[in-house]
Amino acid sequence: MNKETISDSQGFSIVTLFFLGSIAILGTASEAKNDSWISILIAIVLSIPVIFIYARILSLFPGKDFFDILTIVFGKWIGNFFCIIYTWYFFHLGTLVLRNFGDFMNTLAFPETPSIVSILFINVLCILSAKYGIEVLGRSSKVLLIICVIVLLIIQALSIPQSHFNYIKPILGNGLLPVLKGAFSAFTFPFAESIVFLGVFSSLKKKNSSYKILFSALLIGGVIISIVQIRNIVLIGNNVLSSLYFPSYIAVGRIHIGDFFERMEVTVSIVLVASIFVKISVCLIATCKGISKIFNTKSYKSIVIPTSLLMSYFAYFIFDSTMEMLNFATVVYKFYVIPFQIIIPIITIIFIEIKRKKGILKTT
Amino acid sequence: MLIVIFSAYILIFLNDQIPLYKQGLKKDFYLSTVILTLSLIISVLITLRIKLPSPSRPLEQLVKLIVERI
Repeated sequence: MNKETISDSQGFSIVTLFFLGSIAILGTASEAKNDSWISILIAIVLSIPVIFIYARILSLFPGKDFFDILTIVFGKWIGNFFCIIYTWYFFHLGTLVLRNFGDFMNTLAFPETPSIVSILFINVLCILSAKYGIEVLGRSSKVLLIICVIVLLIIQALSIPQSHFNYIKPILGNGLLPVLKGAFSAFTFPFAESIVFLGVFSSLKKKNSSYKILFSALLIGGVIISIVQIRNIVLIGNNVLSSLYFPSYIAVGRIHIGDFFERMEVTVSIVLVASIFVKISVCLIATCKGISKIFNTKSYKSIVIPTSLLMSYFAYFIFDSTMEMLNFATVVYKFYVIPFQIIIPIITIIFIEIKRKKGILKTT
Repeated sequence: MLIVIFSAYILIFLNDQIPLYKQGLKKDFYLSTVILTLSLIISVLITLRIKLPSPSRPLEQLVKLIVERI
């Protein structure tokens, strides 16, 4: 089997689009209300140490993914146990993102089409990208990121006439606590979700690329999310924003230049489909790699189709309604992911450093 | 609908799983067949409108239990 490699710019594009993922429709840091953009900026700062831990783990074991590293560091039994729970997490994350997409399509874009149809169709795309490997995903991400940034810039410029900048005020009017709560939400969703890349980025060209890719994507992706959040707030105000399931779509729908330049919300779908395609593909590749490592099979690509089908069905029946999905995403999710995103990576890096100092573990 | 599902799965099996067996990747073949069968069962159950237990509810209860304790 040929060894797959991706360049730094491809890696950067994948991670940035991954961050934009569900945020493009759901928004984040809703606790902070009109200060949510400050929460996102705080979350970027909070994410830096965690991102450095992820990058350090990757750079110490070039050519190996997180599942290999867990087995090397913790041994066969505990390593495999961690592999199983991480595979579940990546699978679950993939299903949640698919569900977000399905609900969005079913609620706003194609109300008369069953959500399973949209889910299955985007999944076919993800199967193709996962089957062809991370290289193809990297190349397509480069193109998709440029398209998304251009679309976002145009929308940003067009939204200025309808913007009410007084909606941002009062800054910190509700105190610092909601802002910090919002920052924690934005930290877990989407920044610390970059743990998924530990399962995927065994194919980086240079040893220290992981630092560069994750850090630059965190900064750029974070700033884009923050700007999008400000746009949503100044367009429709927090009172309306907090009552919407998919705020970006409604906010952009308000834009009209004269009588002929309106119904711009389809542009949100462009960004959404591009970023969600990358996010689901990354989750799918990571899940398949995890399953492949647990059962010690030769290639992860042989289980891409069955796993993605399973992911689609889970996405369909995991929640009964959009309200339940949103409740899980905003209330439960941030606590549910703490072990996966913070506790286990910290334990892993501590174990790696101790074993390196004792000379038990050989790293590069 | 069931006929469509079974036909689709037979197609997937012939195009995706059989080549694995022919290449001698027996472990990959068995694993992918097991996952495919599982997904077939779930898709049939969904088609028959049988309500499947969602894993998110027990997870939600577990998380709430832990957070309340803390």
